[in-house]
Amino acid sequence: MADRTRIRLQKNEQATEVLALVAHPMSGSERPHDEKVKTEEPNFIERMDFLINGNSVAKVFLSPHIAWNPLMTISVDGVSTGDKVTVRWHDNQGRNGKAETINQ
Amino acid sequence: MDRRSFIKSALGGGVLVLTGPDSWSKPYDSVPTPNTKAAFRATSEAEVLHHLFGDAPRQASPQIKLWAPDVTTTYLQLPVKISSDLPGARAIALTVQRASTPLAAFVLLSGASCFFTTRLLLNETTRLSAHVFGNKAVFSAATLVRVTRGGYGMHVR
Repeated sequence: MADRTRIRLQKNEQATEVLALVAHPMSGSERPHDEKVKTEEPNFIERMDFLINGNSVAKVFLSPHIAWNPLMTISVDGVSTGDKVTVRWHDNQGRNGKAETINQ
Repeated sequence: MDRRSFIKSALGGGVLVLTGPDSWSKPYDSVPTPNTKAAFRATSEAEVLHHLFGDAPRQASPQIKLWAPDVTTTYLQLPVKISSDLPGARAIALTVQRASTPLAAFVLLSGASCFFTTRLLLNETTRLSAHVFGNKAVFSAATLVRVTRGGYGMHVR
Protein backbone atom coordinates (compact mmCIF):
# COMPACT_ATOMS: atom_id res chain seq x y z
CA MET A 1 0.00 0.00 0.00
CA ALA A 2 2.95 2.31 -0.46
CA ASP A 3 1.11 4.14 -3.24
CA ARG A 4 -1.55 5.23 -0.75
CA THR A 5 0.92 7.26 1.32
CA ARG A 6 3.09 10.12 0.16
CA ILE A 7 5.65 12.22 2.04
CA ARG A 8 7.01 15.60 1.12
CA LEU A 9 9.69 17.52 2.97
CA GLN A 10 9.65 21.33 3.02
CA LYS A 11 12.69 23.09 4.36
CA ASN A 12 12.18 26.32 6.25
CA GLU A 13 14.92 28.49 7.67
CA GLN A 14 15.36 26.40 10.82
CA ALA A 15 13.02 23.43 10.70
CA THR A 16 11.91 20.85 8.19
CA GLU A 17 8.19 20.35 7.68
CA VAL A 18 7.11 16.76 7.03
CA LEU A 19 3.87 16.55 5.02
CA ALA A 20 2.13 13.17 4.90
CA LEU A 21 -0.79 12.58 2.54
CA VAL A 22 -2.74 9.32 2.76
CA ALA A 23 -5.39 8.22 0.26
CA HIS A 24 -8.08 7.08 2.71
CA PRO A 25 -11.89 7.53 2.81
CA MET A 26 -11.94 8.51 6.55
CA SER A 27 -15.63 7.70 6.73
CA GLY A 28 -17.11 7.90 10.18
CA SER A 29 -20.06 8.58 12.37
CA GLU A 30 -19.54 12.35 12.41
CA ARG A 31 -21.20 13.11 9.07
CA PRO A 32 -24.96 13.19 9.50
CA HIS A 33 -25.39 15.09 6.19
CA ASP A 34 -23.85 12.25 4.20
CA GLU A 35 -26.42 9.47 3.75
CA LYS A 36 -23.94 7.14 2.08
CA VAL A 37 -21.42 7.42 4.88
CA LYS A 38 -24.11 7.08 7.55
CA THR A 39 -24.87 3.52 6.52
CA GLU A 40 -21.24 2.47 6.29
CA GLU A 41 -19.05 1.11 9.06
CA PRO A 42 -16.75 3.84 10.38
CA ASN A 43 -13.38 3.54 8.69
CA PHE A 44 -10.74 6.00 9.76
CA ILE A 45 -7.02 6.18 10.45
CA GLU A 46 -6.50 5.72 14.17
CA ARG A 47 -2.83 6.43 14.42
CA MET A 48 0.01 7.87 12.36
CA ASP A 49 3.66 7.74 13.42
CA PHE A 50 6.44 10.01 12.17
CA LEU A 51 10.01 8.67 12.46
CA ILE A 52 13.41 10.13 11.65
CA ASN A 53 16.08 7.44 11.16
CA GLY A 54 13.83 4.97 12.98
CA ASN A 55 13.31 7.21 16.02
CA SER A 56 9.77 8.39 16.69
CA VAL A 57 9.37 12.18 16.67
CA ALA A 58 5.58 12.42 16.77
CA LYS A 59 2.62 10.11 17.28
CA VAL A 60 -0.69 11.36 15.91
CA PHE A 61 -4.01 9.87 17.07
CA LEU A 62 -6.98 10.66 14.83
CA SER A 63 -10.77 10.54 14.86
CA PRO A 64 -13.47 10.53 12.14
CA HIS A 65 -13.58 14.37 12.35
CA ILE A 66 -10.57 14.39 10.01
CA ALA A 67 -11.51 14.84 6.36
CA TRP A 68 -10.94 12.21 3.67
CA ASN A 69 -7.43 11.83 2.25
CA PRO A 70 -5.85 13.21 5.43
CA LEU A 71 -2.93 15.59 5.09
CA MET A 72 -0.85 15.99 8.24
CA THR A 73 2.12 18.27 8.77
CA ILE A 74 4.61 18.26 11.60
CA SER A 75 7.81 20.23 11.96
CA VAL A 76 11.16 18.81 13.06
CA ASP A 77 14.36 20.68 13.89
CA GLY A 78 17.75 19.36 12.89
CA VAL A 79 16.91 17.02 10.01
CA SER A 80 20.13 16.65 8.04
CA THR A 81 20.84 15.56 4.51
CA GLY A 82 20.63 11.78 4.15
CA ASP A 83 18.25 11.30 7.09
CA LYS A 84 15.48 8.79 6.47
CA VAL A 85 11.95 10.06 7.18
CA THR A 86 9.25 7.43 7.66
CA VAL A 87 5.49 7.72 8.11
CA ARG A 88 3.45 4.71 9.27
CA TRP A 89 -0.30 4.51 9.83
CA HIS A 90 -3.01 2.01 10.62
CA ASP A 91 -6.79 2.32 10.54
CA ASN A 92 -9.55 0.85 12.69
CA GLN A 93 -10.19 -1.96 10.21
CA GLY A 94 -6.64 -3.28 10.40
CA ARG A 95 -5.25 -1.80 7.18
CA ASN A 96 -1.92 -0.07 7.35
CA GLY A 97 0.53 1.81 5.21
CA LYS A 98 4.02 3.20 5.21
CA ALA A 99 6.13 5.60 3.20
CA GLU A 100 9.78 6.54 3.39
CA THR A 101 11.92 9.23 1.89
CA ILE A 102 15.49 10.42 2.21
CA ASN A 103 16.12 14.08 2.99
CA GLN A 104 18.02 15.49 0.00
CA MET B 1 24.47 -18.12 49.90
CA ASP B 2 22.28 -21.20 49.80
CA ARG B 3 19.90 -21.86 46.95
CA ARG B 4 16.69 -20.91 48.81
CA SER B 5 17.92 -17.50 50.02
CA PHE B 6 19.35 -16.76 46.57
CA ILE B 7 15.95 -17.36 44.93
CA LYS B 8 14.22 -15.23 47.58
CA SER B 9 16.59 -12.31 47.08
CA ALA B 10 16.32 -12.59 43.28
CA LEU B 11 12.51 -12.48 43.49
CA GLY B 12 12.65 -9.47 45.81
CA GLY B 13 14.91 -7.64 43.36
CA GLY B 14 12.53 -8.44 40.55
CA VAL B 15 9.63 -6.89 42.41
CA LEU B 16 11.70 -3.76 43.05
CA VAL B 17 12.49 -3.43 39.34
CA LEU B 18 8.84 -3.90 38.40
CA THR B 19 7.53 -1.27 40.80
CA GLY B 20 10.45 1.11 40.23
CA PRO B 21 10.34 4.88 40.62
CA ASP B 22 7.03 6.57 39.83
CA SER B 23 8.40 8.31 36.74
CA TRP B 24 8.95 4.98 34.98
CA SER B 25 5.24 4.49 34.59
CA LYS B 26 4.99 7.89 32.86
CA PRO B 27 6.85 7.54 29.58
CA TYR B 28 5.86 10.96 28.19
CA ASP B 29 7.91 13.08 30.56
CA SER B 30 5.56 14.87 32.90
CA VAL B 31 2.45 14.18 30.80
CA PRO B 32 0.25 11.79 32.76
CA THR B 33 0.02 8.69 30.55
CA PRO B 34 -2.75 9.79 28.16
CA ASN B 35 -5.74 7.52 27.91
CA THR B 36 -6.41 8.18 24.24
CA LYS B 37 -9.12 5.52 23.86
CA ALA B 38 -11.20 7.04 26.65
CA ALA B 39 -10.46 10.56 25.38
CA PHE B 40 -11.78 9.78 21.89
CA ARG B 41 -14.96 8.32 23.45
CA ALA B 42 -15.44 11.26 25.84
CA THR B 43 -18.49 13.43 25.24
CA SER B 44 -17.32 16.76 26.66
CA GLU B 45 -14.22 18.88 26.27
CA ALA B 46 -13.47 18.82 30.01
CA GLU B 47 -13.66 15.04 30.02
CA VAL B 48 -11.30 14.86 27.03
CA LEU B 49 -8.72 17.06 28.77
CA HIS B 50 -9.03 15.04 31.96
CA HIS B 51 -8.30 11.78 30.11
CA LEU B 52 -5.36 13.29 28.22
CA PHE B 53 -3.69 15.56 30.75
CA GLY B 54 -5.09 14.53 34.13
CA ASP B 55 -5.64 17.40 36.53
CA ALA B 56 -2.98 19.71 35.06
CA PRO B 57 -4.00 23.39 35.42
CA ARG B 58 -5.56 24.93 32.30
CA GLN B 59 -5.34 28.49 31.02
CA ALA B 60 -5.91 30.44 27.81
CA SER B 61 -2.65 31.62 26.28
CA PRO B 62 -1.75 33.97 23.44
CA GLN B 63 1.34 31.81 22.87
CA ILE B 64 -0.85 29.16 21.24
CA LYS B 65 -1.68 30.06 17.65
CA LEU B 66 -4.70 28.34 16.14
CA TRP B 67 -5.57 29.24 12.58
CA ALA B 68 -8.67 28.12 10.70
CA PRO B 69 -10.88 29.88 8.15
CA ASP B 70 -13.75 31.90 9.68
CA VAL B 71 -16.36 30.47 7.33
CA THR B 72 -16.64 27.10 5.64
CA THR B 73 -19.26 24.89 4.02
CA THR B 74 -20.41 21.39 4.74
CA TYR B 75 -18.54 18.90 2.51
CA LEU B 76 -15.49 21.22 2.40
CA GLN B 77 -12.21 20.22 3.93
CA LEU B 78 -11.26 22.80 6.57
CA PRO B 79 -7.51 23.38 6.99
CA VAL B 80 -6.43 23.88 10.60
CA LYS B 81 -2.99 24.93 11.78
CA ILE B 82 -1.71 24.89 15.35
CA SER B 83 1.67 26.27 16.32
CA SER B 84 3.34 27.57 19.43
CA ASP B 85 6.72 28.75 20.62
CA LEU B 86 5.95 27.48 24.11
CA PRO B 87 9.14 25.89 25.45
CA GLY B 88 8.81 22.26 26.52
CA ALA B 89 5.59 21.51 24.64
CA ARG B 90 4.89 17.77 24.85
CA ALA B 91 1.44 17.23 23.36
CA ILE B 92 -1.23 18.93 21.23
CA ALA B 93 -4.96 18.23 21.30
CA LEU B 94 -7.52 19.60 18.84
CA THR B 95 -11.17 19.61 19.90
CA VAL B 96 -14.45 20.44 18.17
CA GLN B 97 -16.85 21.83 20.75
CA ARG B 98 -20.20 20.95 19.16
CA ALA B 99 -19.65 17.30 18.38
CA SER B 100 -20.79 14.13 20.08
CA THR B 101 -17.13 13.21 20.67
CA PRO B 102 -15.12 16.47 20.72
CA LEU B 103 -11.56 15.16 20.34
CA ALA B 104 -10.49 15.41 16.69
CA ALA B 105 -6.74 14.78 16.92
CA PHE B 106 -4.08 14.25 19.54
CA VAL B 107 -0.35 14.58 18.88
CA LEU B 108 2.39 13.36 21.20
CA LEU B 109 5.61 15.21 20.47
CA SER B 110 8.83 13.35 21.14
CA GLY B 111 11.32 15.38 19.12
CA ALA B 112 9.11 17.37 16.77
CA SER B 113 8.39 21.08 17.27
CA CYS B 114 5.02 22.32 18.46
CA PHE B 115 3.47 22.54 15.00
CA PHE B 116 0.62 20.55 13.51
CA THR B 117 -1.72 20.97 10.56
CA THR B 118 -4.60 18.84 9.40
CA ARG B 119 -7.93 19.10 7.56
CA LEU B 120 -11.28 18.73 9.31
CA LEU B 121 -14.84 18.15 8.17
CA LEU B 122 -17.44 20.14 10.14
CA ASN B 123 -21.20 19.76 10.08
CA GLU B 124 -22.25 22.82 12.01
CA THR B 125 -20.99 26.15 13.32
CA THR B 126 -18.68 25.40 16.19
CA ARG B 127 -15.77 26.55 18.27
CA LEU B 128 -12.42 24.84 17.63
CA SER B 129 -9.90 24.65 20.46
CA ALA B 130 -6.22 23.83 20.49
CA HIS B 131 -4.70 22.64 23.76
CA VAL B 132 -0.95 22.39 24.22
CA PHE B 133 0.56 20.59 27.19
CA GLY B 134 3.89 21.90 28.44
CA ASN B 135 5.51 22.92 31.70
CA LYS B 136 2.98 20.79 33.65
CA ALA B 137 0.04 22.91 32.44
CA VAL B 138 -2.40 23.02 29.55
CA PHE B 139 -2.45 26.19 27.42
CA SER B 140 -5.39 26.73 25.11
CA ALA B 141 -6.59 28.88 22.23
CA ALA B 142 -9.96 28.84 20.49
CA THR B 143 -11.58 30.14 17.33
CA LEU B 144 -15.13 30.13 15.99
CA VAL B 145 -15.76 28.57 12.58
CA ARG B 146 -19.12 29.31 10.95
CA VAL B 147 -20.42 26.53 8.74
CA THR B 148 -22.74 27.68 5.96
CA ARG B 149 -24.95 25.64 3.69
CA GLY B 150 -23.70 25.81 0.11
CA GLY B 151 -21.68 28.96 0.76
CA TYR B 152 -24.75 31.28 0.72
CA GLY B 153 -24.37 32.61 4.23
CA MET B 154 -27.04 30.42 5.85
CA HIS B 155 -25.39 29.20 9.00
CA VAL B 156 -25.86 25.61 9.99
CA ARG B 157 -26.54 25.69 13.73
